[in-house]
Amino acid sequence: MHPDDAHLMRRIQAGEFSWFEVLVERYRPALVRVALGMLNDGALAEDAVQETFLAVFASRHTFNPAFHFRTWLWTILLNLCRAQLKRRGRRPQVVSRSTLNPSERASIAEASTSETALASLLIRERSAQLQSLLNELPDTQADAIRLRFFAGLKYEEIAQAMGVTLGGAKLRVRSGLSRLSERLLGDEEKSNEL
Amino acid sequence: MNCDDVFDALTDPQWADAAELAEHLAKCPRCRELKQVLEPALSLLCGDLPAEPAMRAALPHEEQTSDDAVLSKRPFLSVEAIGVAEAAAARLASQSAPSRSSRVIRLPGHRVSGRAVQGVLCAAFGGLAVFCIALWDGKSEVTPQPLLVPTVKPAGVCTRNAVRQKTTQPRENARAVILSCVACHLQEHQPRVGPLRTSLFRFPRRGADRSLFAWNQTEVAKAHGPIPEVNCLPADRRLRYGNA
Repeated sequence: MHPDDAHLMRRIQAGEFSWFEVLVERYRPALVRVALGMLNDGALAEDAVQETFLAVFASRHTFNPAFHFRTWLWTILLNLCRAQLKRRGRRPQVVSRSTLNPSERASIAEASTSETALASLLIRERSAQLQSLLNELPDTQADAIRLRFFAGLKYEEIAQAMGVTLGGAKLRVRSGLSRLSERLLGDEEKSNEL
Repeated sequence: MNCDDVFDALTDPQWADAAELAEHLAKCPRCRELKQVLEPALSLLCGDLPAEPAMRAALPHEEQTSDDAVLSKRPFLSVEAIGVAEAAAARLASQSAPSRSSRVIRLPGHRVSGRAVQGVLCAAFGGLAVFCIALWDGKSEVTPQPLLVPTVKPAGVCTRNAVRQKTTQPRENARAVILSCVACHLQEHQPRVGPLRTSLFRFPRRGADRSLFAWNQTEVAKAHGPIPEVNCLPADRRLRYGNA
């Protein structure tokens, strides 16, 4: 069992840099998932996460145990992803298997059995649908939902990361969820009509 | 569990106490409705998602190599990223720091806010200062300061100034001043001819004014002699004293 984030950061600040690896292992998967959802580009998402960790390490002296490490980490990632989107000057486009051409699709490794392949496909489709819907939301609502559901932050931490009040953070999540639900119900009705 | 906790629980995929949530939902129709509205989005968000997307591995080989070529030219860490990290740390630290207004002073068995203590101290020092000044003022031989309220204004400006000041009968004097103002400024009311009503409140206000007007002329004339003509109103609007 590794110590908590603040303790690890204190050790890193003291020069025990090997502990930084623990933090990377702890947060990297969730960070990559959120970054990919925002940028919709695997390479850019990995870059953003890598840069986030490097920025944390480079400015480790500014970490203060008064705030949560993960709030800081997620704030950096969100800001870097937003900056990346701004540089690209457009909303991310959804990339899924269906958007790839046949040769690209063939090069993607399939799962070994049909059952796992189906499950994997469903999960990927579901993920693509979710990212697509999140990208249609206002940035603030989409980010709040990502921080809540993908990063697992508490509402107090979301409020700190986004620089809003606790009520504001909850409102963003709630409004985003309401819009998502409306959209999903609308899609379902359309498919039923067809 | 209250309704605010329910929203936290609904949006927390790892909420431990599902029984408590179910119990609250069974009792609260508002929260049931909220759950129903958010259910489609929650089921999508709380479902299985790929642990770490392998988008990079999924891309065609040629595209990967070209990406690598581009990426190798980019710096690993930009100055902008460090700036973002430091700015975020500064902001979070300022948000997390306890505010000065909520400072609490701990006394044995009590909790008193710092602002309340400041207020009490200010009031005590203020009171002490006032007491000292009053004490010093009483003992000093400084000549008394003039009154803030001015005394009688020069006569001839208005009726009230023309009325003779009777310091021995201040009450009567005040009434004379009021009556003289009424006489001057209620000229649109015609003087009432006839017996005086005993109570003004039995009649509409306009009638009451008339009664007051008629009464005031005789009262003022009796008490203070003839009222001089005044110049606080234009000549065409000035009241002609005497009989109507």
